[in-house]
Amino acid sequence: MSRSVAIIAFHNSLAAAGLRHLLDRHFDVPAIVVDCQALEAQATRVEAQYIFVDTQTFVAHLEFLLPRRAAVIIADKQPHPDNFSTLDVTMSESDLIDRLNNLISTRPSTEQKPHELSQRELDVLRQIVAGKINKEIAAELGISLNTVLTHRKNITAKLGIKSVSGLSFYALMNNLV
Amino acid sequence: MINRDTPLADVVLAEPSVLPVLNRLGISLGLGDTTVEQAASALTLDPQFLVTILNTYTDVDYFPERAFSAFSLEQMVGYLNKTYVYYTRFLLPNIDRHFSLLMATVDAEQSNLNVIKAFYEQVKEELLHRIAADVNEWFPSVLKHAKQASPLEPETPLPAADDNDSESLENKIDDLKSMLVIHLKGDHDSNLAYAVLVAINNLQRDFRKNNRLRNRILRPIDKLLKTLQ
Repeated sequence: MSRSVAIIAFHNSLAAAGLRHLLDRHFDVPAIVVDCQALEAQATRVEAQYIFVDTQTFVAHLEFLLPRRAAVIIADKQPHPDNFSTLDVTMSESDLIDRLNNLISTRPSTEQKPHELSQRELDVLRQIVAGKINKEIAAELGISLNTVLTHRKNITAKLGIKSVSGLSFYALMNNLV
Repeated sequence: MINRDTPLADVVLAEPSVLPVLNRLGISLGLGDTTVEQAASALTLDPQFLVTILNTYTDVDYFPERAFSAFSLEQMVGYLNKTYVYYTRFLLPNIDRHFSLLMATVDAEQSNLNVIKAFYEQVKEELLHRIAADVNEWFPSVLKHAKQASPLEPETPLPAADDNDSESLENKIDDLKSMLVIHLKGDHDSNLAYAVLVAINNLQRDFRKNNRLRNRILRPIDKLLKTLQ
């Protein structure tokens, strides 16, 4: 399974560095902070799965970003009128992690097959197979209980497997344990 | 809807998957023009019980809890005992046989069928354990409680059933089917894989339907009888 890569093109370099740190530390998604002008060339070069832009960059590169709607996440407090995903980067760290979790876990990967799990879902699966309960998984991965439940729902939907023993055999079958 | 006057042949022609239900009650093919009521009388079964069982089996949305709770517990337990015999003597050996034949056709290095088979063995063991516990301990205890308690009024509300457990056997059988359909890897004999899938599907369908009788009728009645003692 190929790893997801994120591109961050913000005018606020501090916000960009903070987001890069969160993606790397909590989601195992390597992120490249790029100059806003160089967004198009860089995003194409690395085949970015997530493209984080601020509103100014979004407007400047609208033509490039429109066809890549599934990958785009706009740093904005308000929901986007055309339903682009948005992320309020002024939120607290834990809220940001929860929001990113939602954005990343519900985002269909362009390279992922329908039954393949995201890196975060794999992390949750390993915890389930290790016999951890939801509360323990949340604490272990530093995410909220609701996010764990969302991951579990997505895992079941993708694999068609509900029981812990079924998931354990799936993990065994795929050398995940 | 099936009623007392419906010829059994019509029921089986419309829904052949109902035949194992008739088989476990001692009715086999060559049905002629026997109606549901005539067949029930010959087996000293309550005709309405047979009508309800057949409707429940042929219509997935039909499960009249009130009607079921009015039938005798001996009748329900007797039916579930026969259902378990059908699983142990026919359904499980059928899955075993087809699995073994399929296993012989795959390259163990490339295929993950051995892991799926191991999961099947675990599910089978749990099912056999459940059957043994029900037949040897739980069913006799339900009948004992029923004898000791006063008969339930026909409209007595039953306690809520608690059957939403993700670790339930039903879910594990569903998972087994998903593993085969979604996750099987490597070359294999398609006809044999289909035979395994059909055999598992038969178990899944029968278990899901009859488990409703166990979990949504018998368990709540037993719970109620215990509280009445």
